[in-house]
Amino acid sequence: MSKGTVGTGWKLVWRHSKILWWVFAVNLILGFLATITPRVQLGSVLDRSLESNKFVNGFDMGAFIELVSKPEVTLTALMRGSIIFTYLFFVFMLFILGGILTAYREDRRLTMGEFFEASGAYFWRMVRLFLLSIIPMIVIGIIVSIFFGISSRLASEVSTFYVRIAGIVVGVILFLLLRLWFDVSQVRAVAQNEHGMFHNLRRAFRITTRALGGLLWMYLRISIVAWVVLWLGLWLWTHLPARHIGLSWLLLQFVLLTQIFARLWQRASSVAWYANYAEEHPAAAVEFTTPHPAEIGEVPGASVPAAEPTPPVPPPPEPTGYSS
Amino acid sequence: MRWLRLSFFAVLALLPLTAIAQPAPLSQRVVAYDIDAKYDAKAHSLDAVETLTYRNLTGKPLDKFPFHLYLNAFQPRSTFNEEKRTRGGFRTGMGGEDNKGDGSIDIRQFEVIGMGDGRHNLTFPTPQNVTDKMKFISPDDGNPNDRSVMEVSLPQPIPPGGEVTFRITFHDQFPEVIARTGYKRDFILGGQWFPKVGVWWKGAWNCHQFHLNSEFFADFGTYNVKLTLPENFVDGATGLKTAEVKNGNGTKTVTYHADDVHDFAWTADSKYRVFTDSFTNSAGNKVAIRLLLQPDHMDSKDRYLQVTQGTLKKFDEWYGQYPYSTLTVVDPANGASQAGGMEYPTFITGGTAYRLPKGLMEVELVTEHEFGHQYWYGMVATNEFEDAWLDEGINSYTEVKVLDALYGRNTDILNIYGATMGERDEQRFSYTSVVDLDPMTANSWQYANGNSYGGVTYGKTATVLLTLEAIIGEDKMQQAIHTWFQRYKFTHPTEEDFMKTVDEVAGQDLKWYWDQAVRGTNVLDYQIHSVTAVNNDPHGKERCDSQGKILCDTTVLVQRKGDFVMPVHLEAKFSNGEVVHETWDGKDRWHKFTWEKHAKLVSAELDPTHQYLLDKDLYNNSYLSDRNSKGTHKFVAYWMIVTQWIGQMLAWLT
Repeated sequence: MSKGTVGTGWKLVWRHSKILWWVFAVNLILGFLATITPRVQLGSVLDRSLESNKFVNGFDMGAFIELVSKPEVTLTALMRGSIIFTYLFFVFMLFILGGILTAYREDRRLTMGEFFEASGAYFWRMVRLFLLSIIPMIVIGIIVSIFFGISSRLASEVSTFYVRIAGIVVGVILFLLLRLWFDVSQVRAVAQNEHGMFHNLRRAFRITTRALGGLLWMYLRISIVAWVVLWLGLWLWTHLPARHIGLSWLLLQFVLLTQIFARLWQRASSVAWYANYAEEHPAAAVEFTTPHPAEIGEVPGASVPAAEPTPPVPPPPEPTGYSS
Repeated sequence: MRWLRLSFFAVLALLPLTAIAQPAPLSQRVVAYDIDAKYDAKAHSLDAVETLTYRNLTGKPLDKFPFHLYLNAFQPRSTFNEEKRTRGGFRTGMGGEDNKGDGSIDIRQFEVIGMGDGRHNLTFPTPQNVTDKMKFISPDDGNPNDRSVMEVSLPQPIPPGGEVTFRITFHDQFPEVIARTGYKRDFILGGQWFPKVGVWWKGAWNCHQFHLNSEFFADFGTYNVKLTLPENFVDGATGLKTAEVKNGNGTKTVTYHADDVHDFAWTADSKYRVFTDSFTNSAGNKVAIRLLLQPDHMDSKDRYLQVTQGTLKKFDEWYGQYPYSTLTVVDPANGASQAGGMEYPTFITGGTAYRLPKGLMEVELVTEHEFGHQYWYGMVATNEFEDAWLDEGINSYTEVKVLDALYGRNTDILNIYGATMGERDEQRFSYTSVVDLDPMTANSWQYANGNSYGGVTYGKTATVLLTLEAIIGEDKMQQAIHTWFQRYKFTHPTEEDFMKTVDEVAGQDLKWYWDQAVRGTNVLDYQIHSVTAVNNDPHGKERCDSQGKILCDTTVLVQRKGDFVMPVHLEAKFSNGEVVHETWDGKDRWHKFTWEKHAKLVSAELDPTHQYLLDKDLYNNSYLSDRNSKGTHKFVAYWMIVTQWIGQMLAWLT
């Protein structure tokens, strides 16, 4: 089941690659905008100072700490831009989610108007789903912190280390499951034009749990591909000379692009899966027809006695929906 | 008669041999401790009887004796806890909020069992019980709730040159590991665990309370300590183990002996793995190294031993021989890191973690530092309460030098995926965060806060000495430290002794430096304020450029931003390849350097050899005529990537 769905998901993302590029472009632009303040503040200190060489050939932490301690460089101001722009990207993604799911579901090129119309139509539902997802996220956080709490009380440092790893793995799996459930909810909200999010979540939960193994495996495979690409990319990056800033930047942008692709791939796969295995089709309405009364013509030479008044004809019964 | 005469001469002939067999004391042995202690591993408590013989070398009769009762600092409302509550500590986790139970030392009985006038020693048939003559005193802050110092009054004074023997019965309750001492599961580090007499110094008793940011001060002497421990515990302590007896009841009694030391600490844990090594010093004497390692830290074993060997070698080569026959290196248990990174005579505690990356040199840094304390504090026994910089700071300086020698100049103590931090930078950065809060000469408990205490006593002192090295020369500096050790080992020298020693070896009066760097809080900060380059021809319209077609008047204005005055060196590089070196005495607020050249100034840099680490701001020490934005671009590029990543990660929540 899921092999075909994963392939279908890939093809959907590929066919609608414009979405991927737009998401990446917005991410890139917002990232660039977040560097305006650092560029100005850091430039005022570094551009005329030989100390800047400590960052070109490597990354000197001591020099960095001294840099951000200077009055000309305020760490809070530097971070403010990044915080605002990551938040904006988050809101942007939440907004266009409806449009993305519609595009994948209908598997046709939506015009910009259609795309944003769909985005707008489903936005509030997506917001509500996100807010509802916070509760189980908190629960997952508590579960992970329990692992960490247990680990800190263990006598053996080795056990501490592995219990923490286990906690992280459990957290990742639980988060993946949560993501799966809510992704299916989002897909269902669009597919069924569902307005009640609690009802939607319940139905999505049932759908997800019924096909949990296959769905989880579908998501896990895509995640594994993403993690492998990430690991390879970071490995390559650590082997690039520190001075090759441009090449390092390009490499990391490529890795980032693959992560965005992977996420869209998961969404597209869930849309494809839902359409094939879980979509609810309401029964088609059938039109009831009553034949017209047959016309009776006159017979020549026949005398027709005066008709007696006929009793009133009772109205026909209500249609039962039976179709011939 | 003949055989008697022969025997007499034989004895005379053998006498020198007996003198050789008994090595001469290295110190003036003021104290002799004999302690018999029993440790209860379940209750984490200890009962002991201490016999202390004190030699009155003060030149005055003494009838009052103060004692440190350090474990009482871990009681509510103690000075230690009050300072923790209001100020915050220097050592991580000093507060011990998660700690179980308080610590305490309770003297059950205090007796005088003997006295002597130097010629005749008496042992009293009935010990004089002076338990009721004890009272707690708070000489530093008058805190009536602090019981870390006790004073006992004797019915009769001990004459100058005389001796007194005390017998003190006491009970320790160890806290869960806090501030260097305590237990964690089976692990126990017994530090500052016995009543320790104060030091007669500068004509008076010196016996400070235990503060949040203070360490210790005690007299040299001998220690003979018997410890009864669970039989399955592996033990280690100051000095040499001279006996081990299994008692047949699940306990064993070990005896340790140490000469010419001023403290005694011990440890035990059922989990220790023991590794041994040895070092032969330049006199051909062997030092037995004993590493007590946690089983989870086996991958740090070689790191511990290598750095110990290397450090012993460098100290032996540069400063003088390590005179003891043993060194114990202790790796604290999981969760007992507060017992790590500490020094006691011939006994140090390190620090590591499971799977510690090679790029994090915590093992090397801590072990080297704690071994260094065998010299600065262990043998050159300065007053850690009042002159904390003399041990921590000088040790931080020698730490930089030793790590340079063992692992490369400005060793990267952090080196992970291209992010690095050099050892010197680490010392400097800890100082620049507290640059003008407190002088180095402040008493340790009177610093503004824990950060200032740590930043000044460790980082600032190291930076001051590294900068001084640039002024007087590396060889002279090494010679000065060597002289300091050789002259003052096994004594209690002062700050003035150190500064005079350096002046003497350097052959110059460095008062101008000491007054600003050590006694004061002057801030060193010179900067290239501005650079101008104009056409020498007032009517010329062409601008100065690197072609060299026109004669340029170039001016570099150097400003003294801080209040620390010292000579500065400037290096100016021109586009024609010329490099000019200038000096300025640094006294005025600013100074202009001017040149007329057929060339453009490429760069101007103060302290081009980067040795004046005391300068608070290295970024304003140089000027580039043409902007070089490579550093900014790299920063900005990675900043962008990080922002994008975080955004992308957050989008997973949608």
